[in-house]
This record gives sequence, structure tokens and C-alpha cells, in this order.
Amino acid sequence: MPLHRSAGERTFDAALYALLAVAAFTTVYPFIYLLIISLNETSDALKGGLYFWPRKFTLENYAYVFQKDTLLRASMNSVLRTVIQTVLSVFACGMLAYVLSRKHFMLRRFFILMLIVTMYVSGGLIPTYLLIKNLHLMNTFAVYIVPGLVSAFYIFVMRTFFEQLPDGLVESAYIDGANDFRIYTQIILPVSLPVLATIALYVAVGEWNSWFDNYLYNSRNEKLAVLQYELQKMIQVVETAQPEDGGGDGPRVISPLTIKSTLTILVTVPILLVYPFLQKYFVKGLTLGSMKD
Amino acid sequence: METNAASNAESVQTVHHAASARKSPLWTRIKKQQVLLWMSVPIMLHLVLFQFVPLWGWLMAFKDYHIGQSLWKADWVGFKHFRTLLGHDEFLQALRNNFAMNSMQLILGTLSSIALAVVLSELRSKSFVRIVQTMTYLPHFVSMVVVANIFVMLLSPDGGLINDLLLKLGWIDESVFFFGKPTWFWVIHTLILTWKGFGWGAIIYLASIAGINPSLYDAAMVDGANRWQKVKYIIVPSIMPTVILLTILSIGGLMTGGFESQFLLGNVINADYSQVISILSLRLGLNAGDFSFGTAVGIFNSVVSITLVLIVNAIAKRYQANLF
Repeated sequence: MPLHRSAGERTFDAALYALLAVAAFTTVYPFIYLLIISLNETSDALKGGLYFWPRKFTLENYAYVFQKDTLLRASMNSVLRTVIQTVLSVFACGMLAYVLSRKHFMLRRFFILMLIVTMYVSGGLIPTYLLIKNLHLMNTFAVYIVPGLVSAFYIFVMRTFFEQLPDGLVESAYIDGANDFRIYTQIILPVSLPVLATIALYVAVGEWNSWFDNYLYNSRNEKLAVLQYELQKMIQVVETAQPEDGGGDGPRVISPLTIKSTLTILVTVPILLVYPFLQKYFVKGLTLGSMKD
Repeated sequence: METNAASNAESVQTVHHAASARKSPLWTRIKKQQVLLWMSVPIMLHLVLFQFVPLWGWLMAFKDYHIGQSLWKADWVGFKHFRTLLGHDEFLQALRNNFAMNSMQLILGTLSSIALAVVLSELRSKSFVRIVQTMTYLPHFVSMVVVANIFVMLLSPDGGLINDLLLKLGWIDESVFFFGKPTWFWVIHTLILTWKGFGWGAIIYLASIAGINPSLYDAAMVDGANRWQKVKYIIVPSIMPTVILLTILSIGGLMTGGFESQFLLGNVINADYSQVISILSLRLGLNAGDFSFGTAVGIFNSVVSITLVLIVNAIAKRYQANLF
């Protein structure tokens, strides 16, 4: 590359920077806009004209969301399903991945073939729905965890990683008389943190963001609602202000507009906190999956 | 007689012996690998239950099944449901919507990701590039529910930001109900999905651009190529295999893919343009209780997407054969 660029090239560069700045702004601004609305007084927000800064700053909307039982419970459910599924799924997928990384394992080819089939064929919505119904998993918390416990894609990504570990690690443990389960939990897992983090993030983000299983299987039981489902129910709600008992002094105005913005921000914050630091793991996982051969 | 019996016994014994000799390594192998089996078989059974057992339900599509009935006892009706399906107005409409939205999304999504990757690779300030990348990734990680909420709010006819701006600029005289214009839905849907995915989609193209041999640039510079020519003759050809591969991978879902975004963004007014096949399957199958018909729609989905994948694979193979 030449050290000196012509005036034309520099203008062109400036145009590129400007273009990218616009692209980045367009991606992030909608979130900022909702943040501003959620931090503004409801009756004032409904007048419109809020662009870059709250006009009448308040934390009332957040207080409202946190004191509403349904939303508090939904947050708990969301956190619970995310934590439980992440731990169980990473452990289970990893365990199968470890077994399939043992070249001498007798059912290795057969199991791998079965896993590949699941990546291409699925029973579809209604047969799966009927299965869940017949298993009496409808209106239970377990329906968030059990059906999606393992996924062929995660297993293959982890197996690829395990196969790249030095053979001596496992061989020496065999000689010391350790069994495979001990080798998996005490030797393989501790040295596989990068791939575990990758899969844990995939699972966690997926769990945190899911709402359809709630809609499909648990919509009759309010107590099992998750945050995304509560938010989903509000998408098409018309924006009219309605007085509601705030529990404090007199009725205060609360509107779907502010509740939606507040909830949306609350649902986005955990992702916002996690993704910039761990995006390299995501990218790594992406390339790991594609470099299978 | 006696000798016969003896030899019989002997032969039985040898057969038995041979059998056990053949069997015992298997048994010892099972015993030796019992821990591995314990670790894997329960998970595989789980997989069979949740991935393979539902396939059994495909029988429903060939029977007249009603809830509460045993699947065995339901009457066989052959391809009746598939015939109804292909003559069903709503189904053909849904199929059209599927195809339109998926192909629009494929084209705009691919082009915008490539554009972002090319521009990012042209810039020298690595920290600026990293910041832009991190910002444009964000929508990929948030749920479709959040995205739908954001855009329904932004495009709202009553106080939505976009209407607000357009009114202030004087481009429109009264608020527009964007999601109330059925024919606009395809475009709005495509723009929203592109907004969500273009930053993430650029990663893979950036990786292939980073893999270009630098000597190609040097050679181009010696030949006096300008930046546009470098993009045209070096970058675009080197990311072409990636573009083709990703296009092939997404063609399987071209006729049938999509559900969540259309389900969340669609409403009663724009249903003629927002309803896709999976939504129809959900509506007719679960909400209206016609399980057989809903399952037939599901099978149609699988068969069409697998057929498309096979066709495209065959074409790609021929294309590559011509290439070399």
C-alpha cells in the first residue's frame, strides 16, 4: 500500500467511514430510542419528540415492571431455564461428544449416522406437539429443558475439539485405571474451556430468546410464562394510555408503549453485557463447525 | 447309535464352543466399554424419542385422524389431504409468500453482508472496524420478539418514530400505517431481517477476504489497478465460492423456510401477504384441530426442501465439473 494517498482517495476513504458510521448508527439507534422512552415519564413520552435524551427522566417504568408479579415471575423463569439448560445441555452434549471421539467405541459409526439424520429430518410441528402432549409435558417447566437437551450440531462441534486434544491425555489416564466418565469430567472438561464457553453461549442465548415453546405448550399456565413470551403478547397491543393503580399516591399513567420499551431493554441488557466480550468464542465456534474435515 | 449320539453331542459342543468363541469378544467388548455405553446410550434414547418417534406421526397425513382417537384406528385416506392441499387457495398464497420473502431476503441479505465485508476490509483503522463490527452484530443476538417489538413501535402510525420524522420532513401529510398495507409487507419484512442479520453475515465474507493471498494485491498494484478494480477482480472472485456455497445451503429453505418473523410481524390486515406455510400449518393443524391436514403441510415442507437441496447439489456438481 502506498504511504501517500491522493486527495481523491482520501475523500473516498472518508465516504467509506461515513457510510459505515451510518450503518452502525442505524443498527444501534433503535435500542437507544427504546432506552430513552423507557427512562422517560409515560405521559410525557406519549407526546412524542424524544430522540436523543429523556425529557423527564424517571425510573418509574422499571419500578413498575419489577413490582408487577407476572413480569417478575417471568424474569425468574427466563433466568432459571437459561441457567439449567445451559449447564445440562453442555454437560450432556459434551459427554456424547467425548464418547464419539473415542475411536475404539463400538457404536461410534452408528450413533454418528443417527445424529446426522436428525440434522436433516424432523417430524414437524404437529407430530412433535402430540408427542409432548402424550408424554404429559404440557404445562410443565420441564418442557423448556427436556426436548431440546441435545443437538447434533453442538455435539459435532465439541467432538471436533476433543479429537484435537493430544491422545496421551486419555491414554495415560486409562493406564492409571481411570474410567471414561472420570476422564471426561476430570480431564477433558477442564482443558476444553474454549469450546465449552462457545456452546454454553449458543445454548444460553437460544434459551433466553425462546418463546415459541412457551406459546405452544405452556400458554395455559401463567406461572410458567417466560419474559420473551410476555413481550410477544404485547407486540400487537395498541398504544393507548390507561390509568392504573400504582399502589402509591393516586393512579399513575402507564402505557403499553413504555412497558414494551422497558421490557425490551430489560430483555436485551443481558445479551448486551455478554456478547461483545465473548463474540470471539462465537466466531471460533462458527469456524470450528465448518472445519470438520 | 451310541457313537452317533456321542458325535452329535460332540458336534453340538463344538458348535456351542464356536458360538461362544464368536460371542465372547463382543461380550467382553461390551463389558470393557460399559462406561462409554452408559454415557451415550441414554442420550441416544432421548434423541430417538424426540427426533425419531415424531416421524411416526407422519402416518396422520395419510389418515383421517382426530384428537382422542388412536392413530391405528383412524381410516386410511391415501393422498386425500395432499390433493386438498394443492387445490387450497390459502396454501398456494402461502407458498407464494414463502418464495417471495425468502428469495428477497436471500438476495438483499447476501448483498448487504458482502458490501459490509468489502468496505470493512478496505479501511485501515482496525479499531474503527472492530467497533463497527461489534455494533452491527448486536441484532443477531437479540430475539426476533425484541426485533418485532422494536419495528412495530418504530413504524407505528400513532407516534412511531418513522412517521414522526417523515411528518416533520414534510414528506407525508398524515401518518402511514406501514403494517396495514398488505402489499408493503414483503419489503418491510426483508428490510427488517436484513437489519438483523447483515452484520453477522459479514463475518464469513471477512474471513474469506482475509484469506486472500497478499501477492495478488501487489501484482494488481504493479499493473496499476485502482481500488475499484481490486474489488472487482480480486475480492469478488475470491469470495464467490463462499457466496455460492451459502446460496446453495439456503436454497433448501427457499420455498418453505420462515415462520418466526412472519408470525411476529404479521397481523390480520396483512395476512394475505404475511402468512407463510408453517403459519398455515399451525393455524389449521393446531388451532383448528385438523391434525391430518396440518401434518400433510409439514411433510410437504420437508419433501420440497430436501428435493430442492438434492437438485441444487446436482447442479452444483455439474457446475464444478465444468469449472475444472
